[in-house]
Amino acid sequence: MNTALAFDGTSKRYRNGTLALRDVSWSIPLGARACLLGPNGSGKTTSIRLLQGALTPTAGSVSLLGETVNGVHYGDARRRCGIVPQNAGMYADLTTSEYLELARRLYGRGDVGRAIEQFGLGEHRDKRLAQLSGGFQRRVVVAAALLSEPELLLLDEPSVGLDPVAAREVHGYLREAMKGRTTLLCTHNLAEAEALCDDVIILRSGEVLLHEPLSALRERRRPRTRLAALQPAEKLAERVRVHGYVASVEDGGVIALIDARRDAPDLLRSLLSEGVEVYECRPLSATLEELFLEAVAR
Amino acid sequence: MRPSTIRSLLWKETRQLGRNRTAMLTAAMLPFIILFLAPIQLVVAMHFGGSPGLEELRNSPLPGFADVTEPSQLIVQFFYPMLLVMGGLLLPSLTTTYAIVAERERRSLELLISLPVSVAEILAAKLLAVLAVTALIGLPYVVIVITLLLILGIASAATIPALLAPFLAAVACSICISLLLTLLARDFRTSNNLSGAFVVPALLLTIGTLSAVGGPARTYVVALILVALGAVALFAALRWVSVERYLE
Repeated sequence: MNTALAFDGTSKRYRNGTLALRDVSWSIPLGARACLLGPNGSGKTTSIRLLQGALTPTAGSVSLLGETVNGVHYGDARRRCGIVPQNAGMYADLTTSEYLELARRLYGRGDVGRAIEQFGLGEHRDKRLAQLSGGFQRRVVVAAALLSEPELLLLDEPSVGLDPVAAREVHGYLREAMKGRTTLLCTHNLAEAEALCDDVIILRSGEVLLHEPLSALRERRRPRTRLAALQPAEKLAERVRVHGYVASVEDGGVIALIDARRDAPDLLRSLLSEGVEVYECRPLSATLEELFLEAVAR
Repeated sequence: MRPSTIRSLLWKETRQLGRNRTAMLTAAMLPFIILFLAPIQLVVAMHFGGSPGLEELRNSPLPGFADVTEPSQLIVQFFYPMLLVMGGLLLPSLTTTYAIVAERERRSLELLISLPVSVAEILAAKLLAVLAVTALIGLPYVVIVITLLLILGIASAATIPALLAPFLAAVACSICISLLLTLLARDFRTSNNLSGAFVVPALLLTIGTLSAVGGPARTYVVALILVALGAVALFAALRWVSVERYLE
């Protein structure tokens, strides 16, 4: 068994008729760190809820750590999995330590005192969850998800709604937590996905649009290089085009569809000999945002 | 469903219910009035006399109660069973509504299902917590009143199950119907209104049954009807409404 989670011909239609997932099949192996991306309504949250066992698929099956969701041994698999939910409401009548104690009881293991110390929650252990700041609330939720030292982490928009400082803190905790753990990160924040994950799954309208390693996705994209010169960008672009390359003006510079390693030395020599005073030549690595927008626009 | 999971959730529910003053105050006041004050007043009025209506009842009995020759027996065969059903229906419906709807309204359900629990286990624990609160608050009043009835000779030991049956059946029925209504309702107010609205027809049905069925079996028939109603509501909640609706 080396599949951490798998969707096999899975469809989910809600009672109001909405088809949230349409015959999707994808899986991630143990040890992978994958991000699940997609525009609103693409089926991300439905996928997480199916993995949680909170929803039942209309067709097909879903498995978690080798166990069919809601099957006989699913409960055991579920207790080996930590989940950080998306922007959940907080209890006004349970304290931090009580909530963590509840998590410990439900997972059947874990050390509440250690988790409180590890996540810097000591001063807030007797405060009601709803009284904590957004950053501390998220810390509690991450602490609960990691309390039982799970093998698998499902992170549903873990930093949404947080200010940049709190988001950075949470990323720090997550980066530590993800070491050596299989992780599925469901997010809108592409910078977050890029920083934390290696594989990408893109959903659109309930279907899998793309599922591959981020590196392969980047390699498949035509290489691009940014050039800048003392002359106006339009003139530089025109000279680049004369040499047979596609070039466009962007943000005061020129983006040329060239492989910097292979083509830039010759091109730069030619441009400089022609009197174009080039002072910048930088290969551009496609951001996940660009790759995502390209994939979704296809 | 794992018993240890239900126990853990029950621990959470009882803590939360205990901390909600409004829910607890309502849960404590209603049974005090319906299950304690009202029956005591009846006993005082009918057993110790002084009520001008007593002779009237002897001469022209209530419809369906011609077999009850002694007016004080109306307490154990009609008035007190009716109050027991009313209390049994009202008491858990308020706490069920609070326990189930509040979790959904404040969106803490998302937080809860991120832990290794199923929605069915969450609902089961909530219903058990309501049952525990109902038993803790309602049963002592029932025990006190029944003891008083025994001491005064109004009830015999044989009538104890006949009195407890409609109360327990009403509690079970109320919990099941409240589960169905709270799954159907989108918010606290609608859920509360629906739960309140079902009490009146249920009471009319109880009165009708107590009048229509003669003899000491009448309270058992009421209990059977309430259990059947509860079973239908529970089946509808799980089969047609489904617990997935709780998440929508």
